[in-house]
Amino acid sequence: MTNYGIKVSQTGNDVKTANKENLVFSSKYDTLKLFSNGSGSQSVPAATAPYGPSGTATVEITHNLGYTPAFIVFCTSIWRDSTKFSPYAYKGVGGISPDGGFYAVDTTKLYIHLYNGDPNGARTIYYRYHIYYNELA
Amino acid sequence: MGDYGIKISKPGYDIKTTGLQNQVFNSSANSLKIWMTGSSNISVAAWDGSGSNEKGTVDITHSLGYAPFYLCYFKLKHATKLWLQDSLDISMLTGNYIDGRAYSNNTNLHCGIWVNGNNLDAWTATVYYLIFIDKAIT
Repeated sequence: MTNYGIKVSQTGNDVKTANKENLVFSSKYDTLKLFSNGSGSQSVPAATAPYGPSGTATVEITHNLGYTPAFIVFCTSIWRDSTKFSPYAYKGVGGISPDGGFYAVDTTKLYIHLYNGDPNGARTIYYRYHIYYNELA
Repeated sequence: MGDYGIKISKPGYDIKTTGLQNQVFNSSANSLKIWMTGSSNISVAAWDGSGSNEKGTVDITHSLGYAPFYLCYFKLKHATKLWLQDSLDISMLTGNYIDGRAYSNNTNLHCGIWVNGNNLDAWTATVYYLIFIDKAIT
């Protein structure tokens, strides 16, 4: 069996001749497969002084996949309202006073490290995450 | 032929009536398709306080001919975790920093290690990547 599988072309493209860029799906190519997703909020303590160090809190999401999976996280920042999410954070000068989130994964957990550069009080940061079955290897 | 294709709903949803947000797959909606995955070591030069803060790079050739969508994760100096692109290694938030950054163009996925700080010797980072067939720009 040399050539088999499923492929679906985009509207207006002949699936028998379409380039890979014009396919909606092809079983020849892997896709991101969602393992879990979720959202939440976390109160983050105030920065100890203007321009840092920032206050910090960590949210740990257990996945127990036994390998490091692909993921993506979006979160709010104290400089944006709670409806505006981004995967990237403001890093601050020299990394001393970041705002927003930095994200990492190991074989058991997703770590969402949240930062508050505001010295005037604790702030709530909202986050959303996707963890995929796809292994980073 | 007016209505045809494949669609699969999530558990608990009636495929005949549920919306796309409750479907695992729908042949009318594009899916991100993975072109290549892998990892590569990056030799990071010692910090000398001069020049660019990008102290180590690797270019992953993808041969797509356009800038593709991608995801990158980095094993950095002080952690066993893999950090999402542009996330700072939080063990370094004391005026020094390390992070991995990336961009794609028509030929490569460019991955770089950015550092700032004293007493950073040469070391080796690793980038893990997923490059998609889907274009980052149209």
